[in-house]
Parts: sequence; C-alpha cells; structure tokens
Amino acid sequence: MIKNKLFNKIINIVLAVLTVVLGLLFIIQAIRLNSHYTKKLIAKVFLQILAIVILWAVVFVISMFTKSETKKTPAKTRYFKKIVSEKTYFIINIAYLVLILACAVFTIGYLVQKKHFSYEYNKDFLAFMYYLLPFVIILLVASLVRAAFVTAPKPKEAKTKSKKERMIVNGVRAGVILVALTFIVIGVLNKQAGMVLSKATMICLECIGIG
Amino acid sequence: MSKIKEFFSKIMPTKRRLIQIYAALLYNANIKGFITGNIFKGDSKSVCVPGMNCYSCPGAIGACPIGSLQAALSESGATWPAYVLGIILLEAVILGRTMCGWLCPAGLLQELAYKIKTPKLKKSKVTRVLSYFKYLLLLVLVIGVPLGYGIFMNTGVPTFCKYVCPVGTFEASLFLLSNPSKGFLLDNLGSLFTWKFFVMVAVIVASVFIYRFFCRFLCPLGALFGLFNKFSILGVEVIEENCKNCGKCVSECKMDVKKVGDHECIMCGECQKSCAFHAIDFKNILKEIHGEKVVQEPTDVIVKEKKSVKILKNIVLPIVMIAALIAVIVVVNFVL
Repeated sequence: MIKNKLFNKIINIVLAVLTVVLGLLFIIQAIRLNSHYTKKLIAKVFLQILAIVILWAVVFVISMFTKSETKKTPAKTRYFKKIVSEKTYFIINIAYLVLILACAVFTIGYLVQKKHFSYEYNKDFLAFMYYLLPFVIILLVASLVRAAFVTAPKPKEAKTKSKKERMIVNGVRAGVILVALTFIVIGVLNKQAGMVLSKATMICLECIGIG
Repeated sequence: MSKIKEFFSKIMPTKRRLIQIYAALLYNANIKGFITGNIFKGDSKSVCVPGMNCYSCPGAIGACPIGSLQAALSESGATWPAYVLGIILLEAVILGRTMCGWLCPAGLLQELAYKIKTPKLKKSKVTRVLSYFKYLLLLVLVIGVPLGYGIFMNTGVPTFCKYVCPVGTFEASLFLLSNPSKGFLLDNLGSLFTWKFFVMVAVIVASVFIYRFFCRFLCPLGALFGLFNKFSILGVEVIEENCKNCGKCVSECKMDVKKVGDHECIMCGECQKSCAFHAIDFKNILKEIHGEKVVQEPTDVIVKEKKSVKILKNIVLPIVMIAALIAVIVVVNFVL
C-alpha cells in the first residue's frame, strides 16, 4: 500500500482526468462513426484511442494500491441552514406546487391531442421535446432558487409511531397487495402474461438503440 | 495469520454486495446466451424482475419492468395493462427501494464504478433538486408518450428505452453487437445508436464521480418504487425512541435523502453503522403486525439470538441460495 499522500492525490486526479478524457474520446469516436458502423471502422477508431485506454488501465491499477482518504462529513444536516418560518415555507411550497401543476397541465394538454401523434415517431418526439424544454427549464430554475434561498423549518422532534399509524400503514400494505394480486389475476385471465412473454422473448432492436 | 485475516476482511465483500452479485447472476442466468448471442425464450420471461435488467440482454431470464410497462401501456388502446401494473405494485409494496440498494444490477455496476479512486462530487441542494428529474422521465417518457401512442395510434413506442435507457445499451446492444453471430446488426446502426452510446458513456463516467448517478437522477423504476418506501414491507426505519435527531445518518448518506426511509432512500442500511444511538434498524413486519414497539433489544438478547440462528444464517442459508442459483443456471442453460 502506497502511503505518500501527495502521490495518492496526484494519482487520483490523473485517474479522474483520464476517465473524463477517455469518456469524451469514446463519444467523439462514436460520433465520427455515425451511420458507418462496420467491423473494420470500429476496430480502426478503437485502435486510435488504445494508448489512452492502456494508460487509464495502468493508472487504475496503480490507484488500487493507494490508500484512499475518506473525509467524513461533519455530523450536521445539510438541508436546514437558512430557516424560514413555517408560514412562509407553506406559501412558497404552494406557489411551487401551482407552478408544477401548471407545467403538468400544459404537458398533459399536449399529450391528449391526437394531432401530435403520427407514425413518424422520431419527428414527433423531437417536437415534443422542443415543446417540453421551456417547462423543464422553468421548473429547474424555480427548484434551484427554492433550494438555494429557502430552507424548511427544522422538523419537530420525531414521535413514536402510534398504534393507529401502524394500523394505517399495515392497512395500506394489505390493500395494495390485494389490488396488485387482483390486477395480476385479471391480467393472467386476459392473457397479458403471454403478451409480456412475447415482447421479452424477442430482441427489441428499437429499445436497445439498434433499430 | 492475523495479517492474512486482516487482508481477507478488507477485500471480503459485504453481505449487501454479495446479494447484489447474486441477484445480478440470477437475473442473467442464461450464460450460454452470452456465447451464442441468442436471448432466453423460457416462460420465466413473462415475469418482471425487480430491477433494471434489459430483457433483450442475452443473459436475462426475466422481463424488465420499465420495458414491460411501456409495452403494456402501448397496448392501452385495446386493453388496460393490469398484469404489469399488478406485478410492479406487488414488488413495490414488498421491496420499496430495497430493490435499488440490494437487487438492481444497474445499481451494482454504478457502485463498482464509484469505487474507482478519483475525487468525488458530493450531494448538495442542487443534486437534491435534480433528483426529481427522474419523476419527470417516469411521467413523460415511461407513461405519457407510450400511453398517447397506445391510445391514438395503437402502436408501441418505448420512449424511455429507445432514447434514454443506458442499461439496454450496456447489457443488450454491446453484448449482441460484440457477438460474431450477430454481426449483421451492425448494418442497422445509425444516429440513434450513437445517441444511446453517448448516454451510456456519460452515465458510466458520471457514476465514477457521482454516487449512483443513474439511480438518483434518471431511473424511473427507482422513482416509482420510491413512492412506496413508506409502506414497503422490507427496508430500514428509524426507531424513534432511540433517535436523538443528530442528523448524522442523513449527512453521511450518499443519496439525496431528507430522512432515513424517504423516497430517495435505497434502504442499503449503511447509515446503521454511522448511528451511535442504534436508532436505525431493518423493518420487522411481524412485530409491526402484533403492534409491538420496535425498540433496540439489549445487547445480550441480540447475542443470544445470533447464536441460535448463526448456523442457519451463515451456513445453511448461503448453501441453499448457492444451490438454488446453480440449479437455475443448470436448468436455464442445459434443460430448457
């Protein structure tokens, strides 16, 4: 085991850089190959990055003999730094929920219109992604702002689960199991198990990115 | 002798890791498929396994729940997907996200990638926000779009599998394409494969630096099962009588949890080690049904219990499990 701290650190950083570089190289080579995948070309582009692969493997093997320094995070909760009052937190959450619901309504509104679905899946999907993108960005920004500036009030002391609460949990469990078993029986009677089997026993080229 | 013992104790995988490896082998027991390039066609494929394991993988002996759900939703124009929903509900209420922490092969691969010694990116408020992205993927790509095509066009478009899922690219595409007997598949490759290869490489590289990148931000199955964490039969829970609200469990957890057992918790039980007050334990359904309080027993009781079940736990159970795995592998590869 190598105990030199500086050496270990350097090896770890080199390995990190090489991992990223290797990932990028794989992606670049795949883009270069785009639509021209033949055994010869794949072998050729792979050979071009073989030196980096070997270098990565060597550094990886060396890193296995280094001693990792695991810095223990101090025992404190990360999420309760800037505490707002319960009322403010409630209002912010309501506003946030309204925003999410609005985005969901617009998305569902798009999906329930037949005109948006045709046999040109890729084109439809791209159009849908363009439609969805602004909502994703809005939600992401709102979520980040909420996370950065607002923090939940400190939770109250944990209480022991009462007998009633435990009964509710067990009731929900039993209910869901019952519903699930009913669904399975209905599905089997409708020969849906066979449908799953027929789907799973054929290579779905579309699913794995080949078709 | 002590040095040898110390060495083995260091390299010996944990129980959780052994179970993850066991599950990965069990889900992919069709070993001859990796050699011949032909996928398994037995009846077991009508059952969805709990975990992300592509059914187009040559080794897979079960169906992928997300792939099956999308396929079933695509049939919604003709029939509603009772069977797949039933199986997913049943697995979710039994396992919750214990599935992610203990059984999922994709989770195992990511944890192994995270073991590569590089500087790591730790969780923050940003990762907590991004962890909700998987719910968007679940609602839009797994449910919304396949359902839309199923109802309006009567056709199946497995959107998540097609455009995002790196598990299919890794387990199925790469194994199939590298098999000499499936060389003709190379002719079909195009920009879709390039995109999926990009996603796969990006996820693998990200997993080296970010703990369980795919599980935390992209996995729709984890998102779905996470909703059942509170009601799941298996999992971890806080023994509130012992809890001092120090928050050490949350701060040491690598997932974006707010508290132990919430929708982001993968029930790995690692926080048990960090809790000085023995306030975290695995759920005990029998005690809950009988209405007993789940309190940490005194140490001597635990030792007594351990002694009485030691042989069963450490010798009999592993032997039975290994025998079962070997039996499955033999049946799948040589009998069926």
